[in-house]
Amino acid sequence: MSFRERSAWVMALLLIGVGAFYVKLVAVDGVPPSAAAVPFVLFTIVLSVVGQIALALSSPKEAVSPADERERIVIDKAGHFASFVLATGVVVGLGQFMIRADGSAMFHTVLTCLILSQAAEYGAQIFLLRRAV
Amino acid sequence: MARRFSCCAALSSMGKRPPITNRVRELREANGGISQAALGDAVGVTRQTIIAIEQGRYSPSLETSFRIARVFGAGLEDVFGWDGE
Repeated sequence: MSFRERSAWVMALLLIGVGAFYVKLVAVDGVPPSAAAVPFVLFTIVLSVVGQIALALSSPKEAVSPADERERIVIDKAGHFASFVLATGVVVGLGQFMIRADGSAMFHTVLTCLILSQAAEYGAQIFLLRRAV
Repeated sequence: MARRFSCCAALSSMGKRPPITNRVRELREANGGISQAALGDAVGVTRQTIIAIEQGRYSPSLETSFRIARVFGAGLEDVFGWDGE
């Protein structure tokens, strides 16, 4: 498994984990947006940095190598795919606000779709790297 | 025919096997069994990309194709061929 794929696995699993944590805060604990977003962002940043450092220590040579031409295509295509997921969430969030005039609900919808789009991006990277492009 | 929705096309268009054949594996073995990783290092791609090229699942760029050919001291068409219509 290439370094790029391992990195994508780490980020995808991390986002699913912190995404579940965010959903628990909002849906189960009823935490307001401002209080839920701060721990979510902090967890995401800290765990991403720790995960990437651990990966880099396990493969120092690959970690400093730039993406090659095939990996760049994969990264571009996965980002393109993820943009549709994010756009869908934004449209749903705006529609939700127009109908219910609930800013908190819109915030949660957009942030959830941001998490989903990032997870989708890393998932698409894994799919395309395995498919070889 | 209806055009495929572009977000799905972004993922599916990459799975088509390109109509390009190559003799990379054969030339590697003929040139002292140079490893996939060593060839990748020599041309600036990962070992996984060399594997994908050898399996015919990825068509390298023109620049990488030339680099691969030069590693083997061969011409481009000695390494790559066209297998389409």
